[in-house]
Amino acid sequence: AGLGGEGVGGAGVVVDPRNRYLSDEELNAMLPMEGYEIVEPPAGYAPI
Amino acid sequence: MSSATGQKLPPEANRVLWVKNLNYKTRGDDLYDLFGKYGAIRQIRLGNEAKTRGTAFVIYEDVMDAKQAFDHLNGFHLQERYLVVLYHQ
Repeated sequence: AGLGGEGVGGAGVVVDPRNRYLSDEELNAMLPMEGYEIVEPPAGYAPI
Repeated sequence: MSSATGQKLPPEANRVLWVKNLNYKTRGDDLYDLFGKYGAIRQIRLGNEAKTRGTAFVIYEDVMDAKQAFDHLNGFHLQERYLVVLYHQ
């Protein structure tokens, strides 16, 4: 059975297109602005 | 529970979760605590107007984390409310 998936590691790790970094502008384009407040991460919030 | 890595992702899975039925007293920090357990959070937007109160967008860095949160937090009982978690279309 084929492995499937775009690339398997190698020199440049191929990032799943859905995981491409989203800039703030892109987020603003995707999501409603009015009616929502962007929440400040709690102090010391370090993504695991 | 099948392993997280090799899991097949449903087509509609993406990193933006739309959360509904939130208690109006739920604050952003509560959402960071709860959703942060499943992976790095890119951003959270909390509804603050009459028609958006009780809903929030939670954006993860990694689609697999979003799927984990989606699987585990749908129906989660937070502050007397059962969370409704959907993939943002």
